[in-house]
Amino acid sequence: MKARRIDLSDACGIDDAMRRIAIVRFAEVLALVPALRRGRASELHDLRIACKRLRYALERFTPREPALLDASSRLAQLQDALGDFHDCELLLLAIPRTLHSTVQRVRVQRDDALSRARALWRDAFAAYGPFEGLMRFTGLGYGVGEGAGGT
Amino acid sequence: MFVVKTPARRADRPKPEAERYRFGEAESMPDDRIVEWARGLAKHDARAFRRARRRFLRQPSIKRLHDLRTSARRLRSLYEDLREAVPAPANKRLHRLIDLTGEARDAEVQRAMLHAALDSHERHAARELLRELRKRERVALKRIRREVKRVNLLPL
Repeated sequence: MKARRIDLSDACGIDDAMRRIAIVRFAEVLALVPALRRGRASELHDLRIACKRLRYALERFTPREPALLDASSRLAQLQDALGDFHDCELLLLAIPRTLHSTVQRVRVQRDDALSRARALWRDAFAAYGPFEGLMRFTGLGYGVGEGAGGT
Repeated sequence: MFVVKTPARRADRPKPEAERYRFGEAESMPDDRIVEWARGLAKHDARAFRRARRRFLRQPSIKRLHDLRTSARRLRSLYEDLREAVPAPANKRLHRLIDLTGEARDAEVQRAMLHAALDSHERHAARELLRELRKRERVALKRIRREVKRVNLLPL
């Protein structure tokens, strides 16, 4: 999934530029979050990439905006869980079907990774949770936590 | 009356957008504070990339491959976010390098996962796949060593 272009031509200073970038990247993540419910590999891969983009952006901003630190660490955890899911999916494509018990074990690992990702996402929106600072900074994500964050 | 069309002189041709930003000719250029800040970030990430590259080329390892991959991805993400404020370098090379490091990393991770998940009685049947993954990793590492030297970052 290609990253959306961010218009900074009329941004008023660095804080405004940071906010614009965070809004676009967070909106990309929010748009892809239904993938957590559906559990389709290609959609989850796109979500992982979007989380990575948002995380890198937030990590750049934390020296000026420390309130974003919790969100970036939560995104790192989420990215790890989605990465594990992706690795299991790739491995399942490569393993010969004759290795029954290995296939079964990798499937269990994959499902664990997805459950972990769902829980991390859901908890991120709790009151005073890791996304609180990000939501305040961007004005996005309110109401997402209700209804289990689209999961 | 004949109008002879001559090819536009180099100086008359429109400059690419990044170049126009660079020389301050673009109308929609972000303000100076943003450009200054973005350049600072780009310098920091470019330095991290060069450091990771040096370390990887000196002695490749899984850890150093991971550092190289991460620093290259951070750099790409920075150019995506701030492309209006910092001119992007030869991005194709950077993308190619990221793809290659991904191949090596995937092969390595899959091999480790397979090792961990294998049943003792299935180990023999998985030998071929393990060998294939090892080969894929080695080939990708070789190509990375070649490709990483070709990534040129613009001086800021």
